[in-house]
Amino acid sequence: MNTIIIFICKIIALIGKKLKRGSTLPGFLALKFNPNIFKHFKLNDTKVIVVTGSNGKGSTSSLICDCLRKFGYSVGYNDSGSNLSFAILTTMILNSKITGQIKTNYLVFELDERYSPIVFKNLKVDFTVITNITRDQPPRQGNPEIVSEIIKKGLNNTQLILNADDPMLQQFTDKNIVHFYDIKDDKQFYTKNIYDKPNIAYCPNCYKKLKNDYYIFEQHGKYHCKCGFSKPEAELSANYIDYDRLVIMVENFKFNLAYPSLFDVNNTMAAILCLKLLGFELDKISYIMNFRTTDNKIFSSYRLNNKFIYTINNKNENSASFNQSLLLVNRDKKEKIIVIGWKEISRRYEFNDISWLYDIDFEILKELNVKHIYCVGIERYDIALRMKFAGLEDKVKIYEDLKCACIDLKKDTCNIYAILNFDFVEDFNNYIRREDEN
Amino acid sequence: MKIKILHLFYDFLNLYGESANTLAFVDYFKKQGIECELIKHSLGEDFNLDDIDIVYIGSGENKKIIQAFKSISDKKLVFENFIKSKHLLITGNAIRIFSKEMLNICDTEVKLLDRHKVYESIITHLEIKEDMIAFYNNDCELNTNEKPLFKHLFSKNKDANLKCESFYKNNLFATLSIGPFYIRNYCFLKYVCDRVILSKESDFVIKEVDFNFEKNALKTFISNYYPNYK
Repeated sequence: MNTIIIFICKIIALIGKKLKRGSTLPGFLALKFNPNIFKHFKLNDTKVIVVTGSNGKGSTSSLICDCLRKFGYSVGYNDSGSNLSFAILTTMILNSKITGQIKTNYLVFELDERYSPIVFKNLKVDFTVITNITRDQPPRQGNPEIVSEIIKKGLNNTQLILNADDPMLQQFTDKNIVHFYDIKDDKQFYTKNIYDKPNIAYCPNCYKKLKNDYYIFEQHGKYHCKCGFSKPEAELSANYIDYDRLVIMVENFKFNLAYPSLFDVNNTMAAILCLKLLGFELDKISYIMNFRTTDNKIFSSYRLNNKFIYTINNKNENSASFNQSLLLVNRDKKEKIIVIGWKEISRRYEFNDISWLYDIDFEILKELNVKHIYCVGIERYDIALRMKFAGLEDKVKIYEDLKCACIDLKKDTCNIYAILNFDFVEDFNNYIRREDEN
Repeated sequence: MKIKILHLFYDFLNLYGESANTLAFVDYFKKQGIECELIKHSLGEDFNLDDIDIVYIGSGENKKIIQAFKSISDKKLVFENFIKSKHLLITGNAIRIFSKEMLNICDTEVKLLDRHKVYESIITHLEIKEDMIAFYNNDCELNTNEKPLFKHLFSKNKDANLKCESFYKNNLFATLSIGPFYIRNYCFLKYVCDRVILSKESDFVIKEVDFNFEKNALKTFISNYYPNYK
């Protein structure tokens, strides 16, 4: 019966591929036919890697997959854009024989946090990367505690790969073997916390306020508490970070970054550690990663007339993502213009929650030589209001229409940092580069 | 005149950007020419409400709500006396701390649910009569015998509770709505802040404050998402 289900779903996948539709339909149908179909698949020697968390799942999992393929291995990977359980199942269907025998050397899954229990219950996962847990899509995820409990409930017989610098992730270390990476480039450290709204400020064990010897970002850094809770030792460290050249050094090896963000440093470190644990040598991983190019979907920069335009594809409803973008802007000490906007807050649901704007530390922009802040789109006044309460009211310019905003932007001579939701990125780049509108 | 605001558990119960509510109070008082001090309280710190005019407390994760309650469980009488003449403003599930199951200051039960209810409503206050926006994202609902603070006007979501999920008792104002409630609903901000000012100095002349951004944000939001609700 299961063989027939897989056969039918493979046909559906083939038809879907021709029509360029229904990329996760096979998995969805397979689960409908048999909710226990996951158990039918045989992994044998196939290793399974799962990447989950609030940010960087796609970047980290695709980097791991890409490297494994460049090493010459076959990899099943859910790159359809969906990371729910039926996307995972679709990937398994596509990469198995009809008997359920997985054909590839590796399966790499980008997995939505809320669906992790289903996967862990049904598959032996060799390595699990949890990138971070942060405030993210509140109408969907609720809050970090809820997401953490869901992941914890599911984790089963897997080895974890975690960021030692993040105290939020230490809650997962109880029942699993854990491997840590961290940052040891002291040029990235600072001692006065500039973030006022951290995800975690208190020891999760005794609820005393955490002390930090240094910070790297938000609550990340070297933390400790009198009760003994503290930053663990890392197996792998980024000793040097150069955002201009987009490289990091790990031990004595150079690795390329895809974009100049701390998130990408963490994503890259997670991928390197995962590959090392899979048995690959650092020098070979370094060689393979040096073919890595800038991820223009997330970050692009180009010169226009006498200024530079930086477009950052920034996830809405995720304050850590925005704070990362502000950190990127912070590195430029010259006068600049910032553009913030979107077409819609989320395409997943109807809710128009703007509370997340107030979890972002826009107050940082007061010190950053900002000439103007363009607030663009349907929630332009809510963005402007947020800027008012960040003490930036006099910098605000408000536009309903992105095209009109770009016309005015082109008249200015400053560098431009456009921190935009994905639904504005392409239009922004097109409008700003258009010659005929001046 | 000086107004002191105590933000209880500011870095512990800090979901959904609610720390912004205290910014709204401070900004309004400053625009009235009133000296204002914002005291940010952390878990484990003691506090004295004697010279505090407003206490604000916002949403938190459930484990943290319980921990916060434990740290002030001996302050029931303090808060009961406080709300007779001073203002206690609560947003989100911080209501639990003052409900029957915890400090028992309000005749309110908070029922925990096994899922999150997420919805948005247009509401109004009976005295103010202006449209306001409430956004709810809670795993609990209220059953209260206290008087309603707001009146529900409209919601598109089936999860909406028509009883409006808010109440007041003396000067305790509670809403299950989350987020920058007092920033988005400037008319209610003004209402509460003016009450505080006049309770300290009854002949104070309230100045007109420019709420240009707030008005535009509210108007645009309602016209975009609720154009025909009336």
